[in-house]
Amino acid sequence: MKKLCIIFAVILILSSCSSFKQRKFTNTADSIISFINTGKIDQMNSMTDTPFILDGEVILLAGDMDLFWRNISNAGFVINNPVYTDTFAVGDDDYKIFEDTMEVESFFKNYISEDAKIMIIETTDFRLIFLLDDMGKREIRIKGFKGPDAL
Amino acid sequence: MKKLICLLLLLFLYLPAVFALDYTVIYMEGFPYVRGTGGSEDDLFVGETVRTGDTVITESGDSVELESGAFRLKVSENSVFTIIEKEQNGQSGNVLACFLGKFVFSVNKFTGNEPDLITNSAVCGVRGTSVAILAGVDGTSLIIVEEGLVEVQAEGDIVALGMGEGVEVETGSGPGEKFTALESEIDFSAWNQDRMDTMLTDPVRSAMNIEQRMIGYITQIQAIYPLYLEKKALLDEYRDVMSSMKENGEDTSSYYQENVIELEKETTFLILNIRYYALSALSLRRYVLGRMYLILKSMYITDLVNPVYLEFLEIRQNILDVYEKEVVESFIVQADI
Repeated sequence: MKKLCIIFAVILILSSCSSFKQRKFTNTADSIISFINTGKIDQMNSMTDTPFILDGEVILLAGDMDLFWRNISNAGFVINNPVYTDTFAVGDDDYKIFEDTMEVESFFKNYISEDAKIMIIETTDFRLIFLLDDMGKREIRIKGFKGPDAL
Repeated sequence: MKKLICLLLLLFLYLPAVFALDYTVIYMEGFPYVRGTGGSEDDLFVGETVRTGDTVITESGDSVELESGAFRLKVSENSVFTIIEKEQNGQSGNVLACFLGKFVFSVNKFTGNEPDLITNSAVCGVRGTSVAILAGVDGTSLIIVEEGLVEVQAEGDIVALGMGEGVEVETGSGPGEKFTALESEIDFSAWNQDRMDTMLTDPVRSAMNIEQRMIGYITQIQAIYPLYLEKKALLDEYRDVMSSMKENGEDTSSYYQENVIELEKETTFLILNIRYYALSALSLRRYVLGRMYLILKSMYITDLVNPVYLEFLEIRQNILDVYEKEVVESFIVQADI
């Protein structure tokens, strides 16, 4: 009985760790969506890490990402009623989700940690993909953005 | 064969350039960094060395001054500056490339072996000079000569610039009309904004200009590559002969001197030049076409079916298709990216 309790406790701790980690990613995605929707460019910049993958383009300059967030805000882009349809750790071939090129493959090999996750977000109109990476010290940053692709 | 070429390219990546000059950081502001061969990124500090193959990147508020013997250059903010190795007139040397932003190159004394300065749209041969090179958002270049002489070459046309003269070169076109100007009088931000406005007014035309330049790089590669294969085959033949001679206990040194050494040099220079054009194509794709995509996508993000945007995407895809097939598949390795 004692053994069973210990095993149960270990399973509980492990699963709560994993769900805690998962929650960190979801919270970060929530923040990103909120910052995009409210045009908080400085906050977006502080959560953005370069090199960054935008669809199939590797973006090196932080200034370019600032321009990107600024422009989509000025264009009135918002993500209404987002639903996280899938979140998963980045696998060997998942770079193809962004684009099947050496450019993108190399980006995933060189600049993404093993803790990175891909989050698929859907609204009523479109699908978006975020590439989020755990930078350590409980800091999750956005390293990739794909979409919006019409549903 | 492709594997062999990739192997050779990798070898070049990690071999120190024999003839190339290193540059030392003598002054800097902000937090510029260097991307080394293989994709490593390190902060720059005064006294550090920037080598052939390295790319210096500055963000807003950053600047770097570099020195190598009689040559001095200043890389301004929001710039991408690379040192590439290339063969010229039977010798290997450095080419200083500004793919984005601005740099000023100056010479303390005439040496006769000043490096070529390149952008995505022009090649500048310099003689004892001080020259400012600006590379705009759409790949267009502005070249302003403070002192000395500069020969600007683009798409087969040449313009010679003297002191106080400048020229603008649109991507995929020859040099424009010469004009009188001083570097200190040019507002780079205003010029770049003007280039941005031109690109936004007609993104399709800008993309077509880039396509033209990409085809130019590919044409250069395709002109050199058969020659390289021919020389390489001959070199392999001579090396086989040398192996047989060695097996028979014969002395190969005079055979090597007479047949192999010069051919080895020629083959090396050919692959060096193929690589130069391949890396230039990569820079065009990344720093001009890639940024153009970012800008247009972000501006059209709520109207992604806009006909102008769709037409731009179509040309972009054409450029990427030809680039992937003719450049990446054979001449780019992952370490370049």
